[in-house]
Amino acid sequence: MTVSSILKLTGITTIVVDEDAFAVTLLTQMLCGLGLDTPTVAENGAAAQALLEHKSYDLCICEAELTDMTGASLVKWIRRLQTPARFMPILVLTEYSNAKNVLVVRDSGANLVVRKPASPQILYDHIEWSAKHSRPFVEADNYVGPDRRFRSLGPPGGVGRRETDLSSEVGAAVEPNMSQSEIDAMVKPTKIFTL
Amino acid sequence: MSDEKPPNRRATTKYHMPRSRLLALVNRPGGVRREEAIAEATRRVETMRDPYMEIVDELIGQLEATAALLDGDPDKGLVIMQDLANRLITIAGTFGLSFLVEASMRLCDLTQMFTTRSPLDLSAITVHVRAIRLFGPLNPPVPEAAAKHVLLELQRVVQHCRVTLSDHGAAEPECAQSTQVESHPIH
Repeated sequence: MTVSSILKLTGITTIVVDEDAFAVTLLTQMLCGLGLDTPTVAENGAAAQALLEHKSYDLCICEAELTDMTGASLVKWIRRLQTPARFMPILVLTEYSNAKNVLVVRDSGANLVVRKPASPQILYDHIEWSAKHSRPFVEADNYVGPDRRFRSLGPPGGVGRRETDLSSEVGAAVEPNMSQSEIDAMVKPTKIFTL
Repeated sequence: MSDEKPPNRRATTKYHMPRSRLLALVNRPGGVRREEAIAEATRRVETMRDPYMEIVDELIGQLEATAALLDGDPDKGLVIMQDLANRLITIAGTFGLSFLVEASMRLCDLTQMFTTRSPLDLSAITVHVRAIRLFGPLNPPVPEAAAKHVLLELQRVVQHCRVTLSDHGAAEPECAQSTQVESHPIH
């Protein structure tokens, strides 16, 4: 039996950036139903920038294609702010036909990219994931945002770059298994007195 | 030979571990179980079903009107149709109208293909719009087997258009492969 998570979502402030009023209304219902505060809505990138220059939010949910800029441009702008707002988790929603831009959005510094439609389950799980899986925040010349290297997938293509790299495939054992006392001896170092 | 060393990229990269305000907030005592929170959010969305079914019907009407005028300015018309189809996917997907979502996705595939390549196949567009109308929420429900058959045929039409356009020498655009993109969010 899996243990259900318990989160206190009241008091969490969200900024939603999307021009589609119908989609925003649905999203608002979902967020309020989950317990979050009624989100602040910005209908385009410029409106969002004006709000974020003066106020920090706990979460940003942004459409990937805005009327005046792309979601990726807005995320890049947020990540380069000199206020705590730049650290906030950003969830970008892409439309079906924009799914090809997922990597562009990720590389702009978004925490998560989700294809529409978002459901209450998806939103809950992503809020939980954004909150509980903190990642180092990277500031480099060409990237500012959460560390993108958080999956341990091994070397690229499963092939190491050094001669000494082991294969990602675990082969058959070549020696007999160690006994428990041998393992214990390895993890519990003891003093050895020699004469 | 120059003595200049290449810039050390690592030296200009900074790592922070900012305190997560979101984590502090969700961990406060007095929270709600996942199931309860989701049930309440779903209930709130369901209260919006009736007005949104009318909105879906209106969007389908706009789709039909745009398709009828596609002959005049196909480039502009295709962009409008793609936007309408995307909006249909969002709303219909939220309310679980899966057949309508599938048909709208196929229309998106088509409009993306015809936006970047020609010749435009109007009959392929028309048949998709008719299928979308068929699956409209204010129409009588279509039996599952029949709906699946229609969707399969739409998929064949898209495939046919893809092959036909390839025969015309244009390379497969990235966007036309969007049906293969994972629907799961990126973690």
